[in-house]
Amino acid sequence: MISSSASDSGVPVVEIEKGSSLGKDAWYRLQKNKLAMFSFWFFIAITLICFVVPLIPGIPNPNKTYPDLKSMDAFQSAVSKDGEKVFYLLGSDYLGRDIFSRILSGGRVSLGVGFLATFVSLTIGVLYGAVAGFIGGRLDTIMMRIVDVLYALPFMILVIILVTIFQNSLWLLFVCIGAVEWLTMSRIVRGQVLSLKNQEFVEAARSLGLSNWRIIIRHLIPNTVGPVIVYTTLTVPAVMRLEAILSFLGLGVQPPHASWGSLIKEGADRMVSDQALLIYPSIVFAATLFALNFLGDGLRDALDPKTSKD
Amino acid sequence: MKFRSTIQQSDKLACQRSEDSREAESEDSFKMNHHGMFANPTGLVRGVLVLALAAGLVSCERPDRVEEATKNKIFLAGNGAEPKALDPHLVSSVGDSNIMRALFEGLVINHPSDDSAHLPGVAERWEPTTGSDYKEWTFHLRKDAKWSNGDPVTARDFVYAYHRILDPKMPSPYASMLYFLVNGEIYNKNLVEEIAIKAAPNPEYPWESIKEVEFGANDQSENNLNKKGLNGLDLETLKQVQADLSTYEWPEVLSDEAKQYILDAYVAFYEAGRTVQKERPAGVVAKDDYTLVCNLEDPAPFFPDVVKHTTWLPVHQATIEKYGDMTDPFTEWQKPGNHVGNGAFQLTDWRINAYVRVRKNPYYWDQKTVKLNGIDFLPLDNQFTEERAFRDGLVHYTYIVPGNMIESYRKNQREVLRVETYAGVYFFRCNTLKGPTKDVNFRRALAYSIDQETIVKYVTMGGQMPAYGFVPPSDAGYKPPNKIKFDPAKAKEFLKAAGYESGKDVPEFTILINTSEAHKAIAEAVQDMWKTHLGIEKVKISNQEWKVFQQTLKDIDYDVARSGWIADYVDPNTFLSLWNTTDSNNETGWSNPEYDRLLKEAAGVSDPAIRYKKLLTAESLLLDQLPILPVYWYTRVYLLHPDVKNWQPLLLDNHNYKFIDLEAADTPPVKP
Repeated sequence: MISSSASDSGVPVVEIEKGSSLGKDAWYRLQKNKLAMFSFWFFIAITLICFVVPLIPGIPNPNKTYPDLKSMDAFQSAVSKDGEKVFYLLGSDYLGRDIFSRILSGGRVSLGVGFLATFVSLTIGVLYGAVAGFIGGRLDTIMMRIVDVLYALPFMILVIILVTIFQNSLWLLFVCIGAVEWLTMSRIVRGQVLSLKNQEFVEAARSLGLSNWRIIIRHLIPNTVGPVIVYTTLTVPAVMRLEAILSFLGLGVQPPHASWGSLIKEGADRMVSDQALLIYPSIVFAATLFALNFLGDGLRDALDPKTSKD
Repeated sequence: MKFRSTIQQSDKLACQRSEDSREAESEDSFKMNHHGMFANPTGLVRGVLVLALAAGLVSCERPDRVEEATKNKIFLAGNGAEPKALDPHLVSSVGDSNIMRALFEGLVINHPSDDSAHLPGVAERWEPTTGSDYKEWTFHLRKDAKWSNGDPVTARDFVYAYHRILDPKMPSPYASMLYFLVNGEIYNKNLVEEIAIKAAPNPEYPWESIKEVEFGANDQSENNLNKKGLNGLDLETLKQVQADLSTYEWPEVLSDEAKQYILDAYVAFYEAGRTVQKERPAGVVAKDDYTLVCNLEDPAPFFPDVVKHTTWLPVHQATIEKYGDMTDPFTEWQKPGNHVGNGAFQLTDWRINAYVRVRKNPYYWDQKTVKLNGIDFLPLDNQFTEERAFRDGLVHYTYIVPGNMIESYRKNQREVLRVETYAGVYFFRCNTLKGPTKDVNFRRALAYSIDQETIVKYVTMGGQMPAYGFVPPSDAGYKPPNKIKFDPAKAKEFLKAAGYESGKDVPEFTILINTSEAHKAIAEAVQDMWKTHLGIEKVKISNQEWKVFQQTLKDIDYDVARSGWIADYVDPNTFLSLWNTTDSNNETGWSNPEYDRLLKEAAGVSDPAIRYKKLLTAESLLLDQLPILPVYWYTRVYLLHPDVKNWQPLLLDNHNYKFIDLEAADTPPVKP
C-alpha cells in the first residue's frame, strides 16, 4: 500500500538510505588514514617487486657467484674473468653475487614465510578458538588449558627443535612457525565467539536447526573477521621477524638461498668492511615491517571504530 | 669507517647511562657478543643493538681488558669452538689440543720456535736402544715432575694412559696415533681373530677362505651385531649366535661348518679366560718408576716427534678412577676442582660457551720458566665476533681472521697481523659408501671442477696455496704429485663416465659444513662452481655445530663434508696415514688394499728417499681414487697483540705456553 500511495499521490520519493557494509565503511575510514594507506600501497609494491621483477630478463641470478667481482659498489658494471658482463645495481657481496637480486629473492622467502605461516596460524587459530568458544564447558576448559601449556613452552626453543627435526625443508619451516604462532589468534577468536554466541542471530540459526559446525563456520567466524584481520596483519611481520631470527642463528633458509634475515646476518658479520651488505637489506626489511605494522594499526581503527579512540 | 664512528657515538651515551652496571656487563660481554641473539628473542633489531652496545661498552675510556690481563699476565686466547672434553684421550681438534698442551705435559715437549727440535718434558733424556733400528726407545723421567695435586708423575702414569687410550671400550677418536706401539692396533681393536684363528691355523679352514667374515665393526651394516663385529661381541652373545647362525650376517660363500668353527674358536678363546689385551700387551713398559720403554712395530727415527702429540699425554689414574671406570668417557673428573694435570697450568674454571680458565700449576717442576699466571681459552667460533673482540681489546690472540678483514689489517695494523706457513690442508671428504659420491668418476668430476685458485684468491684471501694434491709441500724433501688441477673439460668427461649425461641428472646431495661463515662462503663458492662447470643443480649446504658435526663424520652419514687436517708431526705420513682403511680418522669409508700395503711398506723403511717414493706412489693412488677433494693448503692467518712475547711462527702451530710471556708494548696498537 505504501508504495502505491506514494507513487500515486506524487509525494516525493524518500530515498531509503542504502546500507553500507562493514567492509565498505572500513575501507572508507582506512582511506582517511594517510599513513596506513601509504603503508598499504608500499606493501603491495614491495610484494610485486619481489615476485615480478626477477621474471624480467637481465636481472642477475641471485646465486650466481663471481668471486673475482666481490664487494663491488652500487651502480657499477664489471666484466668477470670468464668474460661475463654484470651490472650491479646495489653492488655485490663477498662472492660477487648481486645484492639487488639477492634482496629480491630473500624477499620472496621472507614474504612467503610471512604469508604461509600466517595462513597456517590463521586456520588453526580461528577454528580452534571458535570451537572452544562456541561449545564451551569442559571442552573449552581443556582446549584453553592446552593453549596455556603451549604458551608456557619457551617459544624460540620449540621452533629451534622443530626446525632441527625437519631440517632443510623451507616448507616445513613455514609450517613450523605457523604451528606455534596460532595461540594468540585462538584466544582472540574464542573471546569474540563467547560474546557472540548468546546473541539473537545465533539463537535464530539454532532454532532453524543448523548444526553447530555450520553455525560456527557460517555465522560466528564471519563475525569475528575484524579482529582477525587486524591480528593477521600483525602476525605477518612477527613471523617474518621470527624467520629472520632463525636465519640469524643459522637455522633458517639453507645457503645459497637467502632471506632478509640471513642477508642481514651476513651483512652484520661483515659490517666493518662491507657496509652495503648490512644497510640495504636492513632498510628494506625494516620498511616492510613498519608498513605492515602501520597497516595493522590503521585496520584496527577502521574495522573497530569504538575502540580506536583510546 | 663511517659505520664504526656512528657506533662509537651512541656508545658514549651507553657508557654514561650504565656507569654502575658496567662492571657486571663487561664481565659477561663475551657471552653477549656471542649469544646476544639467544638472550633476546624479542627482535632482531634489539639483538643488533645489544651486540653493538656490548662491543661498544668496552671501547669506553676505561683500560682495555687485554691491558689489565697483560698486567696480571693472563693470556686471553680465542680458541675456535667449545672444547669437546678436557681429556687428552677424547679430543681431536686443534683448539682442544691447545688446552691439553696447557694442562698436561708429555715426555717430550714442543720447542718455542722450531717444530723439529725436541725439548725435555717429563722425560729428562731418551734414546733408542742400540741395535734396535729405532724400534725400542727408552725414556728417563725426571724425579721432580708432579701432578697438580702434588703426586709424583711416574712411568706408570704413562703406561696407564697408553693402556687407557688403546682400550677398546674407550671412545678415543685418535687411538690410531698409538699404533706405533707393538700390538697397538690389535689391542685397540680387540682383534681376537689374530690370536684365536690366524695364530692357530686349521688346515680344514685356511685363513684365506674365511677372512671375509666381519671380525671387526661394520658401521654400515643393518644388523646390530655386525655393527659391532665379532670382536665386539661378548661371550654370551657369541653363544647366542652359535645357537642361531642367522642372527649374524656372514659372507655368502661360507659353509655352516666354517661359521661354527669360527664361533667355536671365539667361545673357546673367551672360556679359557684369554683376552687379546693380556696376550698381546701394548708395547709400553715401566721398567721402574722413572724409566719408560716403548717398543715400536716399525722403525721410527722420528719417534720423539710423535710423542709430543696430545694423544701421548699422561693422565692421573687415581683421579679418573675416583669418578668412574678407566674407560668412562665423560665423567666428573674433567670438572674444575676435580681435574688433575701435570702441565704448567691447571684447570680452575670452565663455563660452557664462555671460557676455560687455567692458572699456574704450583707443583709444576719448571716453575721458573713459566712466565704467565694463566690463560683464558675463549670459544669464539664466529670469526667475525672473534675479530671484533680483538679490535675491542678483549683477546690477545685470535684463532683466525675473517678474509674480508685481512686487507684492512695489512694496511692499517700490520704489526698485529700474522701470516705464517702452516702444515695443513683444507679439503672435502666424500662418502664412498653411498650416494652419488660412491662413484669414483663422479668424485673425479667434482674434484676437477673446483677452481682452487679462485677460492684462494678471492674467498679465503689469506695467502693460502691452491691444493693440487693432499700433502702440503714442505722443505723436508717430499714433493707431492700435484695432480688435481682445475680443468672443467676433464671434469665433464668424468661426469659422463660416471653415467650422467648432464649435471641435471645428478641426484640431490648435500655439502655438510660445521657452523662458520668462512666454511659457508667456501661451500657456496664450490656449490656454484659445480653448477657452472658441471651443471649440477641439486646441491644443498647444511651446517652442524662442531660436536654434532664430528659425530656425523664419524658415522659417515653425509655426502660431502668440509674437512681440514693439520700435521701431527713433520712427515707426510701424518697426512697419508689418514686414508688407511683402519685409521680412526678415515671417516670416508674408503678402503684400498694397495694403498694400505704401500703405507705399510713405507713404514718399514728407514731410508727417507725410498720411503718418500713409496709414499708418493700412495698419494698418487689417493689422488686417483679421490675419496677427498683437495681445496687449499693452509696458511696460518691470525691476530696477535704486541704485548705477547716469545711467540714464534711454528709450522705445526703447537705453541708451548710455558715460554709465552706478556709485557705491555711500548706503543699500544692503533685502532683501525
